[in-house]
Amino acid sequence: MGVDGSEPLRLEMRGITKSFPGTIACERVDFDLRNGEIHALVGQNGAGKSTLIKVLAGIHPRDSGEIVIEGSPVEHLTPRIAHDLGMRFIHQELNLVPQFNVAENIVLGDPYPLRRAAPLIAWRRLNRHVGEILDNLGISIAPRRSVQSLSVAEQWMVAIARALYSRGRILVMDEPTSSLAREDVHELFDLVRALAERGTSVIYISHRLEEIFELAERVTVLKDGRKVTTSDVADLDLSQLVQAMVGGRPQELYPEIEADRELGDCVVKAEGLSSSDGRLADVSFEVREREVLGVTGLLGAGHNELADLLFGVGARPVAGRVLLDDRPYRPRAARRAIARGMGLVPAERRSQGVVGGMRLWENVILAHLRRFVVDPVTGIVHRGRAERAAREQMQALQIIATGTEQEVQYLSGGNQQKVVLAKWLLRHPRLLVLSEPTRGIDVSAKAEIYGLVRHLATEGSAILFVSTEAEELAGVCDRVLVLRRGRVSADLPRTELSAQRIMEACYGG
Amino acid sequence: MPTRKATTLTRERWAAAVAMILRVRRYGIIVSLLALFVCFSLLRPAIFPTLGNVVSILKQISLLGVLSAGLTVCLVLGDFDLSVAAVATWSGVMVAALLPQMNMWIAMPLVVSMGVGIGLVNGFFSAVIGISPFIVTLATQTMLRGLTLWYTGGYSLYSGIPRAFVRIGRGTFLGLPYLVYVMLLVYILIYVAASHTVFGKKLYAVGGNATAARYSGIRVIRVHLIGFVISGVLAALTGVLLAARLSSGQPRAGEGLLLSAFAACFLGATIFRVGRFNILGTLIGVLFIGTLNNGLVILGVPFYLQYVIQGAILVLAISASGLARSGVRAKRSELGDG
Amino acid sequence: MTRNPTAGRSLKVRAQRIALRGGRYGTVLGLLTLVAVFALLKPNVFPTARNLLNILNQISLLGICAAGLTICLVMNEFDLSIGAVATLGAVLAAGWLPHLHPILAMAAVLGVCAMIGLLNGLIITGLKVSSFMTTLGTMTVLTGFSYWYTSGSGAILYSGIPEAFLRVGKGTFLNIPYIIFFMVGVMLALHVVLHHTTIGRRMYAVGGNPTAARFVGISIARLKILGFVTSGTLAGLTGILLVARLGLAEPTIGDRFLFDAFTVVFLGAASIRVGQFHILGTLIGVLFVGTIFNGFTLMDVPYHLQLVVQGTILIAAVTSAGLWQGLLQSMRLRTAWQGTWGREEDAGDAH
Repeated sequence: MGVDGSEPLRLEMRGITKSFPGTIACERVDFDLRNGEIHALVGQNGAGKSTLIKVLAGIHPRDSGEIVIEGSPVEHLTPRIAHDLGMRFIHQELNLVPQFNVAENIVLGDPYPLRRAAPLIAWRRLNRHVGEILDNLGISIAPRRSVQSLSVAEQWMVAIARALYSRGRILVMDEPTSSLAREDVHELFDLVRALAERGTSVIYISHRLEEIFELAERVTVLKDGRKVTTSDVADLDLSQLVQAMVGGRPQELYPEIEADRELGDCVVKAEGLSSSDGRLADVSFEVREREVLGVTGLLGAGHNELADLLFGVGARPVAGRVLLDDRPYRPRAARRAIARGMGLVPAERRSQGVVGGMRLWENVILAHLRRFVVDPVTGIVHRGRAERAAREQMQALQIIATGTEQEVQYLSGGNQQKVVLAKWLLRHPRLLVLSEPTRGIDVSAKAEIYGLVRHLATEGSAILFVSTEAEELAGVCDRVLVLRRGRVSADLPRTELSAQRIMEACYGG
Repeated sequence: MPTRKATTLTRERWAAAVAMILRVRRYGIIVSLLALFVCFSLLRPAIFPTLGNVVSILKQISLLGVLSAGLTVCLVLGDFDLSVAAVATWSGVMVAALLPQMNMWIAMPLVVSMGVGIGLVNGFFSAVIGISPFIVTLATQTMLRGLTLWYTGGYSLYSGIPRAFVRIGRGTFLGLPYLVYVMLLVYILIYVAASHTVFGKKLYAVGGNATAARYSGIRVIRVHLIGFVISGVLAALTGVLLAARLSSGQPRAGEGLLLSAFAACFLGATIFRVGRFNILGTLIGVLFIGTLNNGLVILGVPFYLQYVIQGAILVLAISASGLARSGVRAKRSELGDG
Repeated sequence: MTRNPTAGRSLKVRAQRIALRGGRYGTVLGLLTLVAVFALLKPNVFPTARNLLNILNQISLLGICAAGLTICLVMNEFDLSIGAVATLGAVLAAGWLPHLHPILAMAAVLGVCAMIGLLNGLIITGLKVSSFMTTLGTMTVLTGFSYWYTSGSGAILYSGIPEAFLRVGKGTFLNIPYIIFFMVGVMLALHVVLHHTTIGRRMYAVGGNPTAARFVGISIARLKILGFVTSGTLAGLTGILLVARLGLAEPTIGDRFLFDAFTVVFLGAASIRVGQFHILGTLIGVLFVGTIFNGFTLMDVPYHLQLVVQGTILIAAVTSAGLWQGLLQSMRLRTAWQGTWGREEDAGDAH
């Protein structure tokens, strides 16, 4: 029954409970979705959003509760059944098949159109169908293009087109904008609104709260596996939303930055840097001791590439030069960067930051193995010293784990990120580069990381903080460098640091 | 109702319980090994559980052991080295060919250094150029097989083998054959290297997450190269010892070794660190295979039935490790994301 | 690194584009070169229709076996048991043919081999274990079984095989041996399935991105089991045809198929659809190996040296394929970035 008694609900989840050994991931969660509605689902990591969606997708069986889709209760759910019932899910990893072209990716999971005579695929009809769908959605991508040649934004379009190919009734999007540029985000929103108008119901999960206000009609907040509230977006403001997510008083997210701090000597100075893959052109900047320089831009502007280039894991510089502590530095390999006192907290912590199968202490010493040997000839590691160092870091960074012995893969995202940080804090880094350090991390862990960054700066390190979240840049950095199409477009001083100003500068304003 | 902190405590208690269950399953192969030993002892109490027989088992597995140790290092890195048996065979033939012409203490290191060369070739094409190691080592083993057969014309080389060399293969010290000492020495060295040295940390780091290893300053390509070199050297050593044991270079010598070596390594991956290759596990795996073979021979089981039983046990071991790993996976998935 | 595609028609870019278009035909070119070389060296014997048929005849059985393996590899699964299954098929066929109606015997043998594939598939998908090890295990079991069946001493079975059956193995139609028709038929069928049926495309999806396949509801387990059943059945067919051709069976008869099949399938993945396993590529690989074998035999080069050459060619082919792929990837990335900045349309790749 509909909320106002008139229209039936597209989806109703009542009293959903799902637990795993040791945790109750979802506890009696209610969630409903109206026809043609855009309904946001928010909550910190560990709040249960992912689990709820996976239950809906048939990936995890629920312990108890009911799921009713368009009036009919659903007893048993598998990915196949969920698909047949008209539910379409777009996860963060997009899940396209790289060997296929656009058309085959769009039709993935649904029946191919077949020829009349034999059960063979009718390619021309397929391409035509797909072409029509893409046109209807206003997407100008040719169906026969290989998906590997598409940009990230275009790949997202294809993923959405797939979700709609066979008339999905419910579309679930998980963090769609985390790797999109602003202009693409607007295109995406237009698309989503058009879908909603045509009757598709959308569940929209995002950490970016400002998007919720822009796009959604209602929002449901989860916390610790339970539903806190469902309300119309119009009835809430940002701080109320954050309060609902975090509970209690809203935390002070960003640490205090003293107005007149003494900056030290110049640690890194880059002049006219251009990279071999063309993503950076004539970039110059400098960072001093105790300074936090933010670097940002739209997708493809070159900010992530700058971090990788400096550390020696990205493209090579083909022009310009870099001075570290007034001595020339040629980025060639991570080893060299580390030897010169640099550290990098990479953007993808699971695939780039930690070795999940190794223990906490092993991960912590991984960049400085030679410092923990019993003697340099045999190379045997002094376990006691290493574990002691790891324990110190655990304390200093408040890493929650069962001990230095625990394998890092069993830590939560925030704690894993702290392990990555600990790796560089073993030896006071001259320059620490952080690339999207709080991506996918819940609010309280974010606050801790911001505090750590500022503390590091106070201790004398220079920090390069690469991020696309304008709010956190405004909250944490002393200056922000804005890149646009590989070039420096603005260098914003402390006085001009606001989320608004930063976003404007990204667009070239 | 549970606060966040309390949930963490319950979670930890649960994790401990699961870990304990896994630990029992984790030592499955050791338990099976002991069970095997008991079984055979009961069936042939006069022959099987004697010191002489145990020594015999150790002697039989010593060469497989050395070979498997090298293979384990490669497998930790995710590199399938299919060429180990062919390298062993080739080395056995080579040393037999060189011995009549030079001092054996020159011939042996020379042949072992050929193993270095082959390892470098394997490593170059797979780690530097980027071809799947499965294919590279498939190609090198094809070439080596061809070279071996071509050089020997299918015949064994047995003339001019000095007695001192044969004594390496057949001699004993304090009742244990020299070969067993060599195997034990190899295992101790490789174990210490893999588990307690800087190189070992790099090895497991590259095997676990090569990107993270690279971002931590580890030279990934070099680690892969060293892995292949270790595998090649130990394979060459196996070949030399094989020639010593057979007192001849035989072009068909290493044939059964490849499958047994992989079997031993995979069996070893079912214990200690479930799903991960490790040296001690491989040693247990080798012991397991050796004990099984020995027992079956003593029971007079015809060799074809031995195959059947070995294969069946392999499949069972894999199934058991698969079940154990699904437990690990379930635990990991729920702890990972929110 | 220009942002304007029309300005980028430098020599380097043009050369790269030619390399890209030509790279995928590297193996084919190699094959043609080899054919040309042999034709020059043995002009009276090599480039004859009879010899061509000879080559095809030699490799037909390998082709059938490799085709089945291709299906498994498409889904990233290794079937190491194909050699032992071929042996089993041969041994069982030789054992049953004297006592049963040939059609019945063949059906029974194929049935057994299909069951083995089913067993492989069930263990691998049900317990989620490595296909490498599982098929290693079944291979060992089957080898032992084959020895046992041949009276435990590796005896050769050859008596009582009906004439009609042997005629299938050695007979011809329009001067082309029946066996070649088998291979062509099998390969054609599998090619059509892989590229023009839903099942085949889903198999590629499973191999290309198993998570994506799973999340849209494709049953990965079912497809993989089907793959193993196919490779098992075709390996069994290979064994049956071995008996038909040779008139005998012994327990090492199928051994060489294992390594040879993997070699040709991987050679195939280095050709035309570079980086993908596909039937056409497997065919090219099989032709390659067959040509080497034939040409070298004609030139009296010992088999052992052929092995060396085979290994070298495998490495060369896969190396150039790998380099080609790297080139393609970097070009694609560059085009993709230009697309993001300038929103220009790429020329696009045809299916």
